[in-house]
Amino acid sequence: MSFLRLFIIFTLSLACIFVAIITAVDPYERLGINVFNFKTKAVAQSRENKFRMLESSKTQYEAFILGSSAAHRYPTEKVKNLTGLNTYNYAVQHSTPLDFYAITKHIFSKFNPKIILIQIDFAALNENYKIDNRLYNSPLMDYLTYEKPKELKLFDNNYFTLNALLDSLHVIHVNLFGKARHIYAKHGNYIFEKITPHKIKIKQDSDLNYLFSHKRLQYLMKIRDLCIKNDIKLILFSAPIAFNHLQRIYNNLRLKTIHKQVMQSLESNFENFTNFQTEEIKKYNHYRYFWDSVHPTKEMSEIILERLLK
Amino acid sequence: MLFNSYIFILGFLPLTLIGYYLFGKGRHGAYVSKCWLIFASLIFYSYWNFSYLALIVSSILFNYFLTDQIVRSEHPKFKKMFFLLGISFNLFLLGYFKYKNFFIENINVIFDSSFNFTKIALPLGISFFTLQQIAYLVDVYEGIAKKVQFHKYSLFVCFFPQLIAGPIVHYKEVMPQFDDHKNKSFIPKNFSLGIYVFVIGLSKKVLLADTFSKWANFGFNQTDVFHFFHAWGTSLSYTMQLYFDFSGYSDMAIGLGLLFNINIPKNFNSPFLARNIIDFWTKWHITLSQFITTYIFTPILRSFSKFNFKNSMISIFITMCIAGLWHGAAWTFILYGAMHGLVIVINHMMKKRKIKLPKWLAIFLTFQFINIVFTVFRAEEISKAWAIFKGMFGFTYVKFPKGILPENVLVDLNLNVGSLMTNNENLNLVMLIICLYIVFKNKNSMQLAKEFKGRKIDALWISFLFVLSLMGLNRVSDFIYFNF
Repeated sequence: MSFLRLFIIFTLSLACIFVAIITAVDPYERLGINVFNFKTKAVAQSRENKFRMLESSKTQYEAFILGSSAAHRYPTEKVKNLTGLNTYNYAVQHSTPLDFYAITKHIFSKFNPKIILIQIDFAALNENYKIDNRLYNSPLMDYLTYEKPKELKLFDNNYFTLNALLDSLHVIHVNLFGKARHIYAKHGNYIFEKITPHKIKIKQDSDLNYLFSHKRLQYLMKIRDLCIKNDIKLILFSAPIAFNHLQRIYNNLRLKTIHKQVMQSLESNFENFTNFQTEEIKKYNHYRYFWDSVHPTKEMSEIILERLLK
Repeated sequence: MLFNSYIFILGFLPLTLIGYYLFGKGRHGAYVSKCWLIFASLIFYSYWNFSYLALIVSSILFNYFLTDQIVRSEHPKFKKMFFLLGISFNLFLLGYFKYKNFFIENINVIFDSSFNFTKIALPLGISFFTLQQIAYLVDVYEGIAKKVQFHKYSLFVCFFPQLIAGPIVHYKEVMPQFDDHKNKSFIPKNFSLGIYVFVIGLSKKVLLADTFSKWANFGFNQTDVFHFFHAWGTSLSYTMQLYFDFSGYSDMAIGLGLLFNINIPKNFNSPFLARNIIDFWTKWHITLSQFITTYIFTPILRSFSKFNFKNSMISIFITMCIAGLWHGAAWTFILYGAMHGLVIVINHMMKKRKIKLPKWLAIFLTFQFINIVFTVFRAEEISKAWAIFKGMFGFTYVKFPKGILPENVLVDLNLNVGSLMTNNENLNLVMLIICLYIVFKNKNSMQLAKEFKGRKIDALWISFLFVLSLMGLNRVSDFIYFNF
């Protein structure tokens, strides 16, 4: 058979195989398919999972926790103990204020919340810390009608990309050979790992080329205005980071200046802002409090919540 | 329009091919198919920015008019006048769009003046189509080239596979092929080879160059001090990115040419296996080397009253500085050219004195030099390149990325561990090792094309690369040489 025929046959076959893998695995749970009955979608994004969990829940939530992967770890029962309100953890990985804005609008469309807690990462206000593409693929996008990037290319929203294929293989690998991750318990709660002694590793190197995004700050202010309008208490706080991470920021003069500027902007624009990225964190420089430099343990999360809500 | 985009691969290219072979069949097939290619090429060019369509069209018209006048003029004075007018026109275009702000910036520094900068976007491919037209103009003036019909000339300038970033084609290479009637019919062998080479180029760009670009950008954008591994990771990532990006583009251009039965000259031939910088320039951007040798080096050398070693070396140095400046309007590019010029002169001196290095050492040193000059080439400021060099040569500090050895081994050896080489150190390390193996040990795309037999296994791995590349096209990025 000629090369051209073989090329066409192989190309179509391989394309079909790859499309079939992605469809069957459905790594971002966009199609709602689970052909292999995987326990978890290892790379499945919390934007979809938590959106769906909330949509199907019958609980009338009155308090919500928003933030990035670090905020996953804030237990909802602690908030309920402190405030008496049914709480949902709506933290999503690698999030920025644009995610929070979409989530807030989603919450407002279904619930009448009394408190919204937003944990903001220093990195989330860095223009060079890219907005996660998975936001654009998630149902949250329906709440950002006018915020879609104009330069969306053909197939950008398509599921059949190289990244989706790699993520599908990742899902298969994790389910067959690895440890399943990112499963959420009721109310969007995180399933905590067992704590063993470990060195607190520094994460998030994207801080190095930091560019303060005023546009992202504007999204936070839009959320603030929405909360004021609806008489909701907004509690904004900076994500606690381990002392070695804070030192790393302080050792870089440029970063230190930007860090100060970012925190001052948040303090001046948000009445209830609490900054946990201070030298005070030094006394928590222990593996009991941090998994790595940006992810607190349950113990640390509870300390933070008590500080905010007591 | 980018070669690595869905609109090009799934829309523009199939339509252009269908039109080319369909129109090539009729009575006036040769003429109509050329016109179709010109039309398609202009759409390809204007898709990027419609306003620059006028630029390329006027450039073609004016250059054609001048070559026509040179041929018609009987008096040498008029010939010379039209020739100089043509050269000035082309240099003016380049100067205005590419170097205007650079000159203003330097004049402001030297004379402490404050002339305003004007925001001018560099028209795509201007450096390439201007060079091709200068070459044609020179050859017509010297009586080497004959006058051709307008549509043939237009196609020679704007044939879309090589329009934006080369390879720089000489009219002698392509015009006879455009005229050949056999090339208007579908030739499965050429078509298969065209797909084969195009897909190799596409995968170089999408799967390798774009992957390295993340790491190179991460390194070059950061403001910290570079430690040893970080500096090497950054510079090698850029070297790999540049090679796979540019050679990928050239492969795609050659593959596309073959789809239309046109042989476009090769532009790369395993450049990192060069044993010295003279050798390097016979393997890297080959068509530019040929152009600068014929149209820059030779005239400079001829301007000296004596042909001797010293004058040749001066000519080489000046030529390389001009070649550096051709790449872009910045002092880093001039430095890039000057460094090449200097080392070529040293290589010639070594040759003259019959100093020979062992092959492995010669290749190693040449590659190191290339890696260093590419760092200068990429750095927006010389100070940034300098910061990377300090890291590379151990003037800062050494931290061992964990990917090199297990962390506990590094700690046991009492080594400074844990800093990131780039933002994804293990994958970066693995990719660097794989790609260094590819460039040093594997056959290059042109060698593979030469041995192409259209076997099942060829179809299988090319299809595999094609599907993966297609799926990776959602992260579309420009080619580096589009900026030059």
